[in-house]
Amino acid sequence: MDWLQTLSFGLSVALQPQNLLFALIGCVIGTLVGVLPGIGTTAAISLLLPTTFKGDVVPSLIMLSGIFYGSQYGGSTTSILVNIPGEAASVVTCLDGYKMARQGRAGPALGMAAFASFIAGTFSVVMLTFLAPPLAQIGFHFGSPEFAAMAILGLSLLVSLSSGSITKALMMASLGLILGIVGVDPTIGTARFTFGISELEDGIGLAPVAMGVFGIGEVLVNVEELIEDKRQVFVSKVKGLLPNLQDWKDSRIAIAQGSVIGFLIGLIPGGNNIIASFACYALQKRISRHPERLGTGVIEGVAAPEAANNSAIGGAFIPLLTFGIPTSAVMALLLAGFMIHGIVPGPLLIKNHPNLFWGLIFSMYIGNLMLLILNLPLIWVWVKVLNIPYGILFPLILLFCLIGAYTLNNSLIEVGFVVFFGVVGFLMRKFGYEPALLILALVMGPILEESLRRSIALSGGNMAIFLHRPIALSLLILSFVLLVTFPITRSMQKNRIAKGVIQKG
Amino acid sequence: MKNLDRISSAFCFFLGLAVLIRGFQLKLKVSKEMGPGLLPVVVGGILAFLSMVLFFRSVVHGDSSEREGSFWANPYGWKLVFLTLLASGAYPFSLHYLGFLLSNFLLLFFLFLVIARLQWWIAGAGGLATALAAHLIFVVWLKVTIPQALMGF
Repeated sequence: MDWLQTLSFGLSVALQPQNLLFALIGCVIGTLVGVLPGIGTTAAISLLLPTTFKGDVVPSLIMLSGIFYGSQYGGSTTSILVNIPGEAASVVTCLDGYKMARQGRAGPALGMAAFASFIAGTFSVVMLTFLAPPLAQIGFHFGSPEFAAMAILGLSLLVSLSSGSITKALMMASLGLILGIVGVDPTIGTARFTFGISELEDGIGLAPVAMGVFGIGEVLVNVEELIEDKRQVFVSKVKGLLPNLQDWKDSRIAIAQGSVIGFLIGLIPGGNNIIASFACYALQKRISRHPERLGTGVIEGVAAPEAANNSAIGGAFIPLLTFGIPTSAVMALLLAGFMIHGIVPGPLLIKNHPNLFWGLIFSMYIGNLMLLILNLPLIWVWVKVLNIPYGILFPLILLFCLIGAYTLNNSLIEVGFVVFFGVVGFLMRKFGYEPALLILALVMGPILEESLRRSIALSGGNMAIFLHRPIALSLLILSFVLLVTFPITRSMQKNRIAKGVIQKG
Repeated sequence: MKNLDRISSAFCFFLGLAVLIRGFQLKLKVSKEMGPGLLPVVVGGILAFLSMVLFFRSVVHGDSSEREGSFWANPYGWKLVFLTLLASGAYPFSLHYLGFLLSNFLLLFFLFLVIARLQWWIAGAGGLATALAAHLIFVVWLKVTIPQALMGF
């Protein structure tokens, strides 16, 4: 297919009424999730995953993706108006966005956040359109050893880029891999860790774990702090959403930089939209002519992180669509969305399911346009939504989790699993462990085991096969280097900071 | 709470050890192929080792998740969490005995009234409206097979 054919084919799929409707539903839910603090994107996607089981694969994935990129748009609204990030990736937006609102410039801040998100989001989808097909070609040179090594590299990167303790991150990855082992072994049919429960023989599904850890776990953490819910919307009526010429001049470099850096960070496993927004803001501070002004309520401080977190999403789709490797917990859930319909993303996706591949990508162009409309003329709706107290919201989230758990397999035991993993998720947050790593390892575990098994079978039982395959060997060496060097560099950074504090003191 | 890492690492150590032992009981190698026990042995071993590292580090250097005050964010937090969990845990049983509509109503009424502290009539009306909406979405629209409760609906 040449590009013109691709364009018309992709648009013809994305513009089908059903796909348009699901893109709109995804964008609306995404914005809602982004606006409301207390429910994250991962939780929302895991809750809605069961509703896609019976539907067609293309609209289902269009909707789930819409929730993901839609939430990034919505997150900025809460950051600017309430000084609470609706989404983790919008934390940085609070710094300048809320101060702009206090200075009476909430309108331009919200407007610039929407425009920067739109420009960067569209940029990353353009890059995805042109880069995914050639990268999928590289994937054809990958055999089982390379996929096993790639899975190990992915996990190593995720662990290395985790925000907390690396030991705890590795422990979570191990725990996720253990959960992935549960079920009947595909080689000789031995039951592993099923404890006689027939529901566990097919393994622990991603959906109940994600719904429990992210849905119920998050609800429990927020319920505990319900007494202290003193959310106050700073502005009741937003005026003057369109930024002026000076605002555009001040923001253009920030948007361009955020688009490029965000996209590149999104490509890396573990390099999610949160890291992208922080990295971009830090760079903006470094290259700015007036770094001291950042954080005092300047528009480029809103444009840079918003552009970066939206651009990272397009980047994150590349490893998933071309290699079948999820780079974050949300991507792992999207992978589950593919696999539920019997489709394995990877190099063959573009050839075997072109309607899904191109339909999904082109729906993102349309989705970004929808979100611009949803977040500018309809901003008053989201301001009203912000006033809904969490006490009203959490019972609905909980009910949706429990019903969703039942609909997975029409089994009451699955509901019990979800409640159990809810407790696990709550405790993980309390004890300072990152739940996202557990989910990712749970998804990567079976991919890793299957690739390892095939590699060893291919070599006649010889583990040295990894040493004879240059790509696999390079990926493994890179994983080793990452795991060894990251703790060292992190402790060096800590020492430097500690020395700085002592000297200042 | 100064020993959160110690508690969690001790739990993970025993979990890792149990997985490791079970992995050895399963076969590590089947003819020239990877056996079902290989990955559990490797991953269980790694988890047990890392847990030990975390435990000793927390003993020597202190807790990484050390924070001021109690495990709970506020003095009544545990009650809210416990009651929410109780309601969630009871839900599968009520679904079995009381059916979809009534279970949903009771769950929502309880949470609105006890946790969110809404007035009883607002909690009742909200619970009823949401239970009906859930019935329309899941049973009528999505045609989910709901368990046939003892009460027959």
